Amino acid sequence: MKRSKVLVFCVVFLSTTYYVLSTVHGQERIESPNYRIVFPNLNSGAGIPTSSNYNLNSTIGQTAAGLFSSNGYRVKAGFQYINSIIPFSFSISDIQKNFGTLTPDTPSTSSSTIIVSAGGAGGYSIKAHENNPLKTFDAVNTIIDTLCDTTCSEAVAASWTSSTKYGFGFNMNGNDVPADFTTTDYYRQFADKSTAESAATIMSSVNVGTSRTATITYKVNVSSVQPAGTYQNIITFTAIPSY
Amino acid sequence: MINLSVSPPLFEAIIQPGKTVKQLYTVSNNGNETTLTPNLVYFVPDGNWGNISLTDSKVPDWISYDQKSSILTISPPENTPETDHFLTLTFETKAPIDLTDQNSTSYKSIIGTNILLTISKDGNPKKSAEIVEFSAPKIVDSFFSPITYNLTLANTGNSFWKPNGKIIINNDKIIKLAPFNVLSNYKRNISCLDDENLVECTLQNKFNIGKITAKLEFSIDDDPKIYKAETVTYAFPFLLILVFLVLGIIVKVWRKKKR
Repeated sequence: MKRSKVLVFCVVFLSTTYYVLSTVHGQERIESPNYRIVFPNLNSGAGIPTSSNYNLNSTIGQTAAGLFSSNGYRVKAGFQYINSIIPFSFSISDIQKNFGTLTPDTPSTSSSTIIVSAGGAGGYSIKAHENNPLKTFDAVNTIIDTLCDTTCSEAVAASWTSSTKYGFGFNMNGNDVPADFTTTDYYRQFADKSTAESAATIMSSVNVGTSRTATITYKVNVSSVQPAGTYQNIITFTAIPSY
Repeated sequence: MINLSVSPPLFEAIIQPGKTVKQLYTVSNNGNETTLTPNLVYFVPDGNWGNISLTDSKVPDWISYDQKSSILTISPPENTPETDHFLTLTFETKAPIDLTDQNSTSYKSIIGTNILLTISKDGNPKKSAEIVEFSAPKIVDSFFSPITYNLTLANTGNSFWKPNGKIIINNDKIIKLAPFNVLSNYKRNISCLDDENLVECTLQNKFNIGKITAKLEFSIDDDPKIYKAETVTYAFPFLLILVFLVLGIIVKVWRKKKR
């Protein structure tokens, strides 16, 4: 008898809770059209140079999304589900990083800040590669790409804290960075274009975002047998919005 | 400092052979003075989330970008095959001239904007979709378990398209699909929209119980065909039952001790 009372209580309790808490409501907005004409497509404008900054083009006409139909073609520009004219933008705080004089077994680090705004796009990715490992001008001597404390690559980061492990690598910290950069002690090599390695993603997001910010930190460590010289290379960052 | 921006970030066009379409771009550099070099290359999707990898393949000469006017011109000749072209217009900075003679690394930057182009004689290329995955957890706890729906669509037609549709849950709650472009012969994971924000396709109820049926319904572009799929999740208050069980055991033990 007692058992059946408990059972009835449980059933009544759960049913009441379900009806009270699980009621959902449809939203009117859901029924709205999928596409919006955000801006008319004026197809006019002219290059207008501005101040000291280089402007490939400034337009007075169509600067963002638009839609028009005509005989023989249909065009859409921009992401119709985002009511935004924010362009896709990428910035990095430096054009060059100097490591100064390298002292054996004493790692040198240096950082830059990367900011991405994909407010008018669906998402984005930033990829990076080096033209070659750090080399002297005559390309005779090289500072190898790091293997971290044990092993790491252009695709997988690993801990690099030992001062007797040598090479050149980078860490990413901040928004939208790959998950394998577990801490600021985790480093990767750059993908090496000279050996046909594909550029590796260092920031990416599937979502709209403005001012997504990350810090890239370079680390160089050389041994006492590293030949003297000036070592340099070029890192290329490729910023592309999603389609 | 390098500070580049480009607009529009995406340009979509369907064009008949023999016609011409033009698109104006705005590219700005608000960083250090540099020379920007434009380039047009093909891209291939990189994964199922809409990211891309640039290829070294150059585009045909009927697609061109004029740096002076910042205008992209697409004018496929009459005999151009009916197919899609997935392109990226890139702008590349030059590496700075090193005057320091220091151990250093220099930066180059490339910013891009994507172009999706369909060549079609009648303006109605064959469009078809396949639902690769529409899934959700089979069993969840009634509390603390928002139900996330995974949706992957494949484009099995000749032209890229966008899904227009929704997920209807228990004939009541509606989650709107994001109209992502799905490229011909590729798959794409589809997110959902909450107002204008891209979000996971998730049922955010605080409490669910019993059978929860989610129906997927979408069409592609203007095609009247409706694609449908269904997935079922069962929600039970496992945690609550556990709490009752533990309480029951405690009461039983307590009563035994009392006796």
